[in-house]
Amino acid sequence: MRIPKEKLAELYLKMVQTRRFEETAARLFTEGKVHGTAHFCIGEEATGVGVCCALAKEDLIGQTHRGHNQAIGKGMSLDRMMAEFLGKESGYCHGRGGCMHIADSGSGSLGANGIVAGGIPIAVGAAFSQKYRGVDAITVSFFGDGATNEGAFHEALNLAAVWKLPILFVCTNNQYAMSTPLKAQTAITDLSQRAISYGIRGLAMDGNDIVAIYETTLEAKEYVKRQGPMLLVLNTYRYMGHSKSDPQNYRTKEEVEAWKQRDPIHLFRNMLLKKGLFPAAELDAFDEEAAHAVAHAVEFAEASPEPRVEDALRDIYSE
Amino acid sequence: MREITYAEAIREALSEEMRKNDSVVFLGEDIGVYGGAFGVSKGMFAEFGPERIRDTPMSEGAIVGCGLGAAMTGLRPVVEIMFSDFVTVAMDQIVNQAAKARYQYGGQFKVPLVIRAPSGSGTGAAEQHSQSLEAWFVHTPGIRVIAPSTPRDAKGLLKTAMRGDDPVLFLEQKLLYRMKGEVPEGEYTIPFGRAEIRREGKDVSLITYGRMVARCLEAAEEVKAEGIEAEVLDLRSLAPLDRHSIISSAKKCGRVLIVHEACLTGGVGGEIAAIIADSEAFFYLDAPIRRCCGSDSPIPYNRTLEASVVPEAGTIAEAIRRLYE
Amino acid sequence: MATKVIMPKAGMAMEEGLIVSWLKKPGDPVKRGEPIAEIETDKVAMELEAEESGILIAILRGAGEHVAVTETIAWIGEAGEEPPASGTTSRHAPATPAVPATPAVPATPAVPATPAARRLAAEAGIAIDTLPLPRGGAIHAEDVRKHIRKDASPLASRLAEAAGIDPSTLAGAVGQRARKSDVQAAIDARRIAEDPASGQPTEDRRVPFSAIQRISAERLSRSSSEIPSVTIFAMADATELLEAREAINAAGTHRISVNDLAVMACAKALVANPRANSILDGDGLVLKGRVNIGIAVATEAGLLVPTLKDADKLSLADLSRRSKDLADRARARRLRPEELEGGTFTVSNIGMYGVSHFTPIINQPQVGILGVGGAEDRLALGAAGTPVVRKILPLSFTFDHRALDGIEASAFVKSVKDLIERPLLILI
Repeated sequence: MRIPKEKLAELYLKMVQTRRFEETAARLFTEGKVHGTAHFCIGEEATGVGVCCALAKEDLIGQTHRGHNQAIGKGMSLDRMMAEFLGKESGYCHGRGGCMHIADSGSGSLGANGIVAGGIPIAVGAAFSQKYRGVDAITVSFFGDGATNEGAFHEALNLAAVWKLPILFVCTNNQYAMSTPLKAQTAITDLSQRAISYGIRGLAMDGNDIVAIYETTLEAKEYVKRQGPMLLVLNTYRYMGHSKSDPQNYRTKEEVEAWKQRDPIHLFRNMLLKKGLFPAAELDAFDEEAAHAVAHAVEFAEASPEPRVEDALRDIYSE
Repeated sequence: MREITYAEAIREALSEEMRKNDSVVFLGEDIGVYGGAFGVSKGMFAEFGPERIRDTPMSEGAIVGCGLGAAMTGLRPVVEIMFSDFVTVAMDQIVNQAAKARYQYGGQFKVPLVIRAPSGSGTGAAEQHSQSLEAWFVHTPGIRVIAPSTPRDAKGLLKTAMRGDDPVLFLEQKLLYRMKGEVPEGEYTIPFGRAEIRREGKDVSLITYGRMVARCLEAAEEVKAEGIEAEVLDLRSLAPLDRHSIISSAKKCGRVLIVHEACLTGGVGGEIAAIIADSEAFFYLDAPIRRCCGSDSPIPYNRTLEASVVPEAGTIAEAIRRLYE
Repeated sequence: MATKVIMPKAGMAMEEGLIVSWLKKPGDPVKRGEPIAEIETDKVAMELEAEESGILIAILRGAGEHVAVTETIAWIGEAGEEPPASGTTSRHAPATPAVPATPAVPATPAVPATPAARRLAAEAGIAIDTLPLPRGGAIHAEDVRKHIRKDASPLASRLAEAAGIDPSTLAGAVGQRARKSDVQAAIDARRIAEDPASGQPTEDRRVPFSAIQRISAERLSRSSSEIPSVTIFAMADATELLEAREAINAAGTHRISVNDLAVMACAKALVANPRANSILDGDGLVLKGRVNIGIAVATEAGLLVPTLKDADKLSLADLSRRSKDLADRARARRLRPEELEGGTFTVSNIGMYGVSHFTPIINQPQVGILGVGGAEDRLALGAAGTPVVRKILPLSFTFDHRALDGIEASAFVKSVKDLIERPLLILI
């Protein structure tokens, strides 16, 4: 195993944190504490965590509306994320954005975008800025399978390609755009083939194999810095509905169960145990640590004050 | 004082700022060797090179989005959209992204992005290349909207836009590009939200902007012979609006005519009328607040028809007279 | 083609007539020979008949207006027809109706006038519905200025401009153009104001009337000559009333004046004596439903009489507060037009000047006015036959003898006097 132990621990811990965080947020939602709707990435943890753990602090990410795994992978605070979910002043966006618009410029996050594919051109701009300023870093643009059919996707990949920008496009293909299965969205089955039309490299892989994802990202980073954009498609599955309002009548329970057999956390845990890298007790300790961290985040968020109504019009303009 | 054209004034603003600040980059279609569809960036490619003057593919969404991403990460981009009608192709990036980024993310990002676009009718470019769409963006919190009417104003306002940290939609009326006007040498800026009285008067206040400023001045001369002294107030800045000047001009004159080439219904004129009606100026009104604006129609191709759907000096003068009925 | 309706010359010496009321409104059909208005000359009241059949398309002069004979007061034409233009060379062509004003007191019809016109009228203390409606029916600022002051003669204009005087502020007879002498008077007045010592005390000095004074003079003249008025004097023992007032004011929460109590007593007395709260209407009295008491207020520009509406329904505290507010705003020239309208009776108190009884002049179209003088000490015999000092409040009631006979008038005065002498009854 080429990956150092601390990194393996980080990968495991962050996936479990993501799982707990999402489950807890889902529970809070059913308790009526989360305003609006919420989108969870349960089942997709390996994608965001695997990619982001391979990035440096200076690398930037553009997140999706359900990319809490990307946020946690990039090192964002569970406390401030949960506070933002509850719309509190101490949240990353002071309650202005909510679950769909988490952002932390300090961690290199350009923000989660509520418009599918809306963040891709912005990520291209960030990569342009990095190249123009000569910084030794890349931008990762996260999006889902549905986004690859938006005009913004095509314009952005094309522009990044012709300008050879240091950007890694990561498509989390969870097989559905809301309720529409992939085969009803597009005539191709392997989304990485889209890369050909822009003259860039494309690669599709198992989105539940965190080790593979991590290692691929390390390589992709170096490639992208030297050669320009790359499209990485991670095939995975979303356990819960598109959002909390989703009755999921467009897929079968059997399908969901089949994918759950390939749960990314279980796969990783089993591999770590089998290879003797960590004893079960240590992994359990990580599980508990994650549970505590999430519980602390809930306490922090619930105890935080609401933003003041007088501040509702703050930050529309620079003054 | 020296006289240069509106287009030259804009070029000067762009070039001067680019010389001063390396983080200013200019993106757009055909702005490089070609010099821009309206010649605004002529010669700039030779001075600044392909890294800073970037020809883009035809992808308004990506162009604006790229500008936005760059603005959020330390650069100060200027983006040119070839015709303001094409803002529609980039609407998500302008309205849902650029106008929201600061507020949505709780103030974490500044957005020093300037989007310049030639606007308005009169060149025979017809329905899809002649619109005046400022009202949509005046109605979008988070973005500034500027519409200069003279070369001097264009330079001063563009500099302010480029030095600010908010997204700006900078609308340049196409027919004004060749207009010559006095522009001071040396450094100056014009702040947003400050209208300018082009002609002092006391009987009627003509509140206007863009290409209609000159027509209002002509109309004012025409009615002067009839004993009507019209005041012409050039707004220059549509978001933010100079409410103080609007109200005090209306109060001083007691009769108001709002003039813009953008179509009447839902235009910025309605907003201005409401500001006046809901101010102390109301008690000094001696006639209803009226608007003389573009017809509620797309812009036709035929030259005569094209001219007929926007106000001319004669129609403005007639509207002034009707305020005395 | 529309035909005009004129104020007819109904007598050899008739120069002007009063439009008493319109029997039709714009839009009504009229038949030839049908009465469409009631008019009055100085000798006789009569009906005005339509000379043509058609639709009454416009009324140019309203009820209560005095109109020179042969002047056009209305037009009859076809439905939807516009009355002909006035043919003036000024840019004030036929007015398009402006946005109608918000209706004030229901009895007053809403007058279309621009906001600027209303503001000027209120500042000048003029009720806007007393202005003649221009052709087509909307009052503009210029109409108000013209009403206050007709345009100056060319010579006067030049002189005024040279002296830096705004011609619209020049005084002179209502309806007359400003003349050179008016400008000279304004210049003199200004010079004296700037340096009183420069005045020439031995020479005559003309002090022109303000707009309010001119209009008042006209009204007082008319009231005096038209109404057969009689004044009844009475003395009310106000000793307990004044003690009650001191007691109320001593509590510190209110400041009630003697006039407040007098007005309140008067209001109650009017309820009990409705004929004193009425309007003469040809051959009858209209007993007014509301008791709206006009309170005379002296201002720099003249006497203003703002109206205290529904005075009989107010508590003493409210009446006091509203009276003070009206008086303050009258002096500051910030009354609203509707506050000068709708009065049914007037109280005039000049007691603070040491005056006892006087003969106030009735405010037409009211039929009575109560004058209140200053309370004075009088010796009287007390219960034990010993001399005591009582405070006596002089009352003077001038009434229109056509509306009230001596007995009715005396009954009203007695009501007021009784209430003053038993002040607790004022407060019930």
